[in-house]
Formats: sequence, structure tokens, C-alpha cells
Amino acid sequence: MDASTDQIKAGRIDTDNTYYELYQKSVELGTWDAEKLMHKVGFEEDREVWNSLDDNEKEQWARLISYFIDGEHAVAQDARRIMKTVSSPWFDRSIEKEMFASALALEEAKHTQFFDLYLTNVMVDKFPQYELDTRRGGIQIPRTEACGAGEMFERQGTLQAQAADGGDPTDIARAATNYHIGVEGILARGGYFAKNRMMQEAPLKLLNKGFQFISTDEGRHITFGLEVLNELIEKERDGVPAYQGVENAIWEQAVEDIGYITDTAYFITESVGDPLDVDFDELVNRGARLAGDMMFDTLDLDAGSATEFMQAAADAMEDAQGSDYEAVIEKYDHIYSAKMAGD
Amino acid sequence: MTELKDIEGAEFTASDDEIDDAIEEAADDLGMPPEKVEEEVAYILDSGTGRANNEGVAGAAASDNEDTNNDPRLEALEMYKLRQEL
Amino acid sequence: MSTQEQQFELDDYFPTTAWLTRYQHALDDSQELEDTGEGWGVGWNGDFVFEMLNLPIEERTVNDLPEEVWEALEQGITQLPEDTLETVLEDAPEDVADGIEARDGPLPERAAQELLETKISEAPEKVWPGLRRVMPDIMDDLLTELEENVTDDGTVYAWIGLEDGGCYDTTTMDTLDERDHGFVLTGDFDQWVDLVNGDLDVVEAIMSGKLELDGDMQKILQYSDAALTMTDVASDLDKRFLF
Ligand SMILES: [Fe+2]
Ligand SMILES: [Fe+2]
Repeated sequence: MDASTDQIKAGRIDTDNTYYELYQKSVELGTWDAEKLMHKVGFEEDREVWNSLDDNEKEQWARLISYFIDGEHAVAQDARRIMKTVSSPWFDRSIEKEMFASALALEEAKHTQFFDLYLTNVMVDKFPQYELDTRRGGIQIPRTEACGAGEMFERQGTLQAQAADGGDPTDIARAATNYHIGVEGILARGGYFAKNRMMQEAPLKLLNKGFQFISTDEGRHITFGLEVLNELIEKERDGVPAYQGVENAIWEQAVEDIGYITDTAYFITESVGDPLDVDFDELVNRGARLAGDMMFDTLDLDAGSATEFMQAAADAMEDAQGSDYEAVIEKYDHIYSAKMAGD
Repeated sequence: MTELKDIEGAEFTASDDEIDDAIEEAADDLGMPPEKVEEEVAYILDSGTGRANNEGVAGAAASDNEDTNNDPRLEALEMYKLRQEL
Repeated sequence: MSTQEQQFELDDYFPTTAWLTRYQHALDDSQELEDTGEGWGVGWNGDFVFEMLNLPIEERTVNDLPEEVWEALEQGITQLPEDTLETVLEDAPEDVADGIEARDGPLPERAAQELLETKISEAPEKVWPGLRRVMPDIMDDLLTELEENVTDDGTVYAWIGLEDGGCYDTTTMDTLDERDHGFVLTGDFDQWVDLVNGDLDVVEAIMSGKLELDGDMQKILQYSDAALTMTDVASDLDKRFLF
């Protein structure tokens, strides 16, 4: 039987390590097969519901799914940098962290795959253009480019590269904050909150199952990220010179990211009239709670003030209210078409 | 790791007995020890943190799953059963 | 200085309607709120409800109230001439009379102990009119407050009328929806104590789930400085906590 509760004795691998636990759980829970899921549940019910939606409702889903597919694509792309960063001398060079990072890489690739398959087989009418890979000179989907998420994913690439390519602990802290707190911990989890609401009105069963598997994987990624950040913070608190400034870096990055996230929240709700009743206020409230849990509870940060953080969200909201997203989408539609044509 | 019934941070509607029964039954079907199933379900919900922070599962089910009555633990168990088929 | 020698008025005690009125005036007089709250609630409902949950009215007894309150009650009873006390006790509810009967010692002490060990939640109904007349005023007033402004499940709904940097009215309510409001801030009484003491940052409390906010987040975020002013004003006011 493959499911005994008995722990098997290990040699060089530290099985008491939290990173090992996360890795092992990734093996047990995170190795689901996206293709099998599609076969098992099928597209039929989802297509039926999708086709029954009016254009505005489809648009709301499309805005959410755009940032998920581009986001998963971006985190999958940066996963290799995380593998490199956690094996740097700033950590204890433990194999367990690398083991988990490799699982994370697989999972992010699979998440990208899930959304790619889903989009192609269900939502394709709302995505006449989405095939371009940013690696092959493409850009993100116009909807992603139009909102804060697009900017955030680009920023993520820069921060992850800085951290992996000889970055110091503050660079690593910034990158991990952006990726695990910002993108996974608030932007994605806020997205799950939104999808839960939208599913009430438009139950896309297969999509929901996919989201459930994905959010379960993401939970481990977030625990991992917070664990990594905690290690850095502890070194700073112990007075190790090279780690000074870590808390501040985390805080600054979180404040920067909440702007992108708030803009995205507005983009997927109010700006499209919120036809599937997500409720922007409650989404922001939820995001604030998630941020508070991670930054004040888990990390016990005292580098900045909650008011400063929420003020950054307020500023972004004010900007969002004045944004003409449709015009930006249109602009990027043209750019996208040009890129597709090979210019 | 946190015990399933000690997890905080979500509204649980099912009783502990209902949870135990559902776990037993699933373990039987899957040919696994109930403790292992319970451990996996707990991990789905809290990712080792002790709080049900898996928004995608703990938040609410899409209305397609009436059996779980919106108890996130039962929803997570359903998900785990499906996962074992994938 | 011992608290026994100090005199407190009803509006010193938190959470009472009288204290809330003092808070109203302090808010209305605050220059800072005039600045940070300018435009708040203009053209929309900016009124707040502070929902304070789980006041420990079941867990605590009368002698858990601030010292000066229960000491005054104890003295009031023990200093009554014995025959007056007996007359007063004639009207006591049956369970109170039985309780006094079952104790040992001189009558005044037994009577005082019985009342001091009464649960707060039961105090208003166990204290009969005859006793109220011989009780210190502060105790009588507090019992009225508990009776009228704390719900049976230990909740206080404090309504704060806010507009354009000022506070135009306050009151307590029996239910959440007794008066129109734009926002509700909800939390356990303990958190409220920390908040009005200035030990809890209101925005951080919302972010960490210690307090829950219901209402237009955009407005709250735009006016987060005003929210901080409101808690600053509360923490600057003198107060004695009933619990
Ligand atoms: Fe992912
Ligand atoms: Fe992830």
C-alpha cells in the first residue's frame, strides 16, 4: 500500500524539515494530471453555462482568467529563478528547499497548462488572441496588459532575476514578497474569492475543480514563501549584517504591490459593472485580511504601518476610477495583432 | 501539521461525527488508513499553517456540490477523492 | 490615590450611552477631525455603528465591576439600619431571598454578598425597586444602562452620526438596524477596549481580522486618517472600563 502513515527513515534528507513536509505534500497532492481532469469532468457542462452567459458576464470571467493564465505563465517562467535563489549561500544550502522549489516549478507549469486547455476549449470566443508566448517575443494578453496585474508580472520577472543573479538578502526578500505574498498570496487568492462569487451565478464546474487543485498547490507555495521570508527576517533580527534591511524591503515591496493588486481588483469588478456580483468592497476587504494575516500575523512585521499600506491601496483605487481600461485593451489588441502577424 | 478538527479560520457546518464518518468511508473506498486521509484533507485546507486559508476550497464550492453542504472540510475531502483518480 | 476616594460620573464609564455623548462632543470639537474628515458623509451616509460583541455579562459578577462601584453598593447595604434592610428585603425576588437565607453570617453581610455575586446579566432583574432606592446612584444608573443598552447576548450597538468632519449625534441601539448607517465596525469587546485605549491600530485591526468592517471600502480607504483621528480622540478621553 502506498499510503502508510509510517515515516520511512531517511539518510541525507532531513525529513523533519518544513520544506521537506511541503515537498512531500506536493508529491502527494500536487501531482494531479490536468489532462485527466479535463477528460474526467469534461467540457460539456462548462460550455453550456459559458454559452448561456451574456457578453458582459463573459467579459468579467475573461478579465479574471486573463490574469490567471498570464500570471501562471509568469510564475512558471520564474520558478527556475526560485530554484537558483534558494540554493544560494544566503540560505543553508539545504536540499529540501530545492526539492520543494522543483515541485513548485512543475505545479506552476501545470497551472499554465490547465488554463491554456480550458481557455482553448471553453472560452475561446472571448480570446481571439492569446496564443503568443512572451518568451517568443509576444506580450501578455491585452486585458492583462491593461490592468495592474500585467505590470506586476513584469516587475516579478525583474525582481526574480535580481534575486537569482547574485542578489543579496534584501533582493531576495523583495522577490519573495512580490511572488509569494503579492502574486500568490493576495492577487491569486483574491481571484479565488472572486471566482467563488462568480460561480454562484455561473457555475463552471470544470473550471472550479481546476481552481480547487490550483489553489491547493498555491497554498503550499505561499507557506514556502513565508517560511523563506521568516528565515531572512530571523537573520536580520539576530543582527547578521548582510541581512539588515530585509523587513524594510518586504514592506516596501508589499506597499508597491498592493497598488497593482487593487487596480486589478477594480478592473475585474467595478470597471466591468460587476455583472456576476463579486462586490469590489468585499474583495478589497478580503485582500486586506489576507495581507494582514501574512504580514502582521505570520511575519510579525513592524517595518511599516497598516495605514500606509491601505493608503497605497486607496491611491490605486482613485487612479483606477479614472482609468479608461477599454482604450488600453484596444491599444494592446492592435499591438498583439501586429505581433501575431510577425512584425 | 494540524489535526483536521483543530483547524481555524473558516465556518464549519458539519459535526465532528459527520466528518469522521465521511473520512472513514472515503478511506475505505480508497484503501487507505483514515488517519492518512484526514491528514491530506487537513493539508489541503491549511497547507500546514493551522488556518483554513485555501480560498479556492474553503471559500465556497461552486453550487454544483450539494453533498458537502459548504463545509470546507467535506469539500476538501471530495477534492481529495477526485485527486486520487487523477 | 485610592479609587474609593475618587468620584466618578456615569459618563466616565465605558461603554455607556453617557460616555458616548462625551465622545460625540470630543469628536465634534476636534480640529483634526474637521480636517481629516472633511467631506465625509456629504451626499452619502457616513454614520457608523460600533458593534461590540461578547461583553462578559455571563462570566462576570457585580463584584468584578470597578472597585468603587461595588464597594459603594456593599457600603450602602451594610450601612443601612438593620430594620430598614429587613423592610427592603421583604420585596426581594424569591431566588435572591433564598440565596441570602442560605448564607452564613450577619444579615447585612449576607445580603451584600448575595448581590455582589450576582451575574452581571442577571443583575438588572434581580435588583428590585426597593433596593434600587437605597442603592448609590451610580449603581442604579449603571444597572439601567446594562438593562437598556446591552443586549441579552452581550452586544452593544453604538451609533455614531458623522458628517463632514463633525459628529452630530450618538446613541445606543437594541438592534443593528434600528437607525440607518453606512458602516459597521464589529469586534469583540476586548478589542474595543484595546482600540479606545489606543493600543490597537484600527486599520491594522481590520487587516488582521480583529475588527471587521462592513461598508464602502473605497470611502474608508480614502479617509483612513479620519479613522485614526477617531480612535485618537477616544483614547485621549478619560474612561473607566466596566469590564
Ligand atoms: Fe500557480
Ligand atoms: Fe504558485
